[in-house]
Amino acid sequence: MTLTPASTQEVLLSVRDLVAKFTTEDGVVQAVDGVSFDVHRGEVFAIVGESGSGKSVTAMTILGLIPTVEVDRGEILWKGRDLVTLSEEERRKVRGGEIAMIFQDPLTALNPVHTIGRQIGEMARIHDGLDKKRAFERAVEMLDLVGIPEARKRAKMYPHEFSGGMRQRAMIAMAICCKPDLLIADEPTTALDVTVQAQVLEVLLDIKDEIDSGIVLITHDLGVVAGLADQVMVMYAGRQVEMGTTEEIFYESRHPYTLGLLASLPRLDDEGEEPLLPITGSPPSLIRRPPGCPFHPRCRFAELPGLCDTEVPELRLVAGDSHRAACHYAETLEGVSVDSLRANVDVDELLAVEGVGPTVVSAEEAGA
Amino acid sequence: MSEVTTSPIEPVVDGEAPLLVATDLVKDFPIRGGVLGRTIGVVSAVAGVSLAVKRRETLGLVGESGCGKSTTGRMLLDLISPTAGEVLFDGLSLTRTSGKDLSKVRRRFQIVFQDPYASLNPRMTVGATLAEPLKFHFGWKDAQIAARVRELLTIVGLSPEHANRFPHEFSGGQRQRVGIARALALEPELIVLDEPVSALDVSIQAGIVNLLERLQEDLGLAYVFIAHDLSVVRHISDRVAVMYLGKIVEEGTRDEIYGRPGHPYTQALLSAVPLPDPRREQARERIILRGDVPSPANPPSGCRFRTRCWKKLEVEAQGVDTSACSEREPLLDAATVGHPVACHFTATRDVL
Repeated sequence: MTLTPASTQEVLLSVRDLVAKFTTEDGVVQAVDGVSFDVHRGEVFAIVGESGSGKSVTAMTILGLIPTVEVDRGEILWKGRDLVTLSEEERRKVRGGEIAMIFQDPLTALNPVHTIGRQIGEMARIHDGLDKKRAFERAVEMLDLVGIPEARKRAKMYPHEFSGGMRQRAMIAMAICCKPDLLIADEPTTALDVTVQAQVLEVLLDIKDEIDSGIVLITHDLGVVAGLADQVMVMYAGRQVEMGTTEEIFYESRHPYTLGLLASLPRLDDEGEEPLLPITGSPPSLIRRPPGCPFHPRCRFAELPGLCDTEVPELRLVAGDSHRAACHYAETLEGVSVDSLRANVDVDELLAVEGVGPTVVSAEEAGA
Repeated sequence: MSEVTTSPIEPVVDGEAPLLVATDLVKDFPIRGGVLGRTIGVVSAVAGVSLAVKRRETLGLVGESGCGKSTTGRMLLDLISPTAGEVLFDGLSLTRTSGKDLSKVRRRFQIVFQDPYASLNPRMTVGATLAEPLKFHFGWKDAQIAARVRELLTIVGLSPEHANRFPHEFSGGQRQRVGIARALALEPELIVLDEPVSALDVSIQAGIVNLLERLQEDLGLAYVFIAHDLSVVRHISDRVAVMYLGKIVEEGTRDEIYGRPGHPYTQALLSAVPLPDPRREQARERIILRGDVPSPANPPSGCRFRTRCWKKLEVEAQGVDTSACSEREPLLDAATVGHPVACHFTATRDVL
């Protein structure tokens, strides 16, 4: 599949038809199922989805961070080289040096027994071959860059002496220490309070311009996406269901799942009386997928029986030169908006219940 | 509208006595240290909170981590005893009641926790979990209990057969429905909801919020809705109280708090919440607070927000004397903007 470049900037990362799985006691989990996208320099590329949509596994697979995840098919092209075929040693050089990751929970991602300065400096020692002293100086410089006051003093402190927002800044400092070309931020502000989130997001954007990198932003927060992203990819059950510019996704969505997410969300600038439309049912098991479109059991637009429950919809161009959606009926969604969905809602729909639990009750439990 | 200030509350609000009244609640947690474990300081988690909740009303309690909103919620239900202050439930003082009388009044208020998995016993079926309070408080027979359990599951949108299942067999949203069913079991008049939808995905969250609204209407419940998500709070609340470092800094109706916020902290908080609307979001002016919340073990003198206050810097730049901020604690006062705000330089600002 060829994608039209959405930006004239250099393509840094190009993921092509990626299929990744891992094996559990219950069976094989198809965590990523045929995902393709490009990330350009200078761009914020957001991957949006709910728990279990495969957004984090996609990111971790790019970096090769989960040993149990097997790449079945596809390419992860980094500046033209396929990361999947690289040796672990070569991959390690890319990781941290050229592509860096920012994790959700800085307290578990930071080492509690080393000072912040040493941990940040370690990156420079490994990737840029700096000595201890110069690495520490680099760490101080990076802490200063992410807006930590008295950086020299703070660099000698341990993670537990930092507040949540400062720890996340320290994580960012560590990630940018070797001036990577791409930052992958996995829910970077989910654990933070909103006022601190605002600080950290501001730092992240400034840094991107400072070091002229690209950002892959993984989040479930559509507000954060609206403020930061240039391109958005929406994932559901391991597949990409919609992709386009931020404005296309928010204002002209052509996928029922994206529309459903937007309509279920209370907004700060709503009066408070607008109905919130839940999406009925639960996300499918990635071990036993429903036939056809994975979203069809929860879809308000599904034509059943028909195409929706028999054929898996391919991601295809639906509008403009880069707006893609994986829905058999994407064209019929033209003009459907959150407001029109909310205007036509009936009361029963508002009280829709998420699907019945994933397991079957055994006779033993039933008698308990 | 109720006028809640730090002075003793008005006994009558809008001609109707409030269901729950809290006056000057204080909670200090000791900091122990040294080999003998002596108390070497106190964390002032809640420092004088007064509020009132009417029947059928939802009071939203918002603030960031560590502001004391959850501790306040637990004190309202006598799950934590206050260091000072009093809670009156339907006129009965929880702080001065004990034994049988307390047990009797306790069934009239309940709590729903954030994490429905941690708050449900993994070894008890959902039916057994729901039956327990009925047995304990009402002493019902098995058949009567079974009928009520079926009814409770139906009310929250689950099916009666779910009674035989264990918590791990449910999804997160369903587990929270079980948590709500348990809170409803004894037909309470008030429920404290402590971050009830924070752990859920948005598509599931909407269903739970709608359920809570429906239950309130059908059963005439009063809610205290504790949350850090200001968008959800706007959707569900009638009145909102904003907390910062153990104190209420602003209180008003939903429209007052979101439409005409008067406290610099409320304004910063609202401006920091991102809107899922790219054009509006990118055009917004954001108030970025500097620094972090100070330690509640050593709160700033005067106004607790002054160390991060953007307003203080703004008025100082205009040459105004701000010594009051560090010298005098601002009290909740409705004089300037029409609803209670605790700030020496109260002024409304549009932040959405």
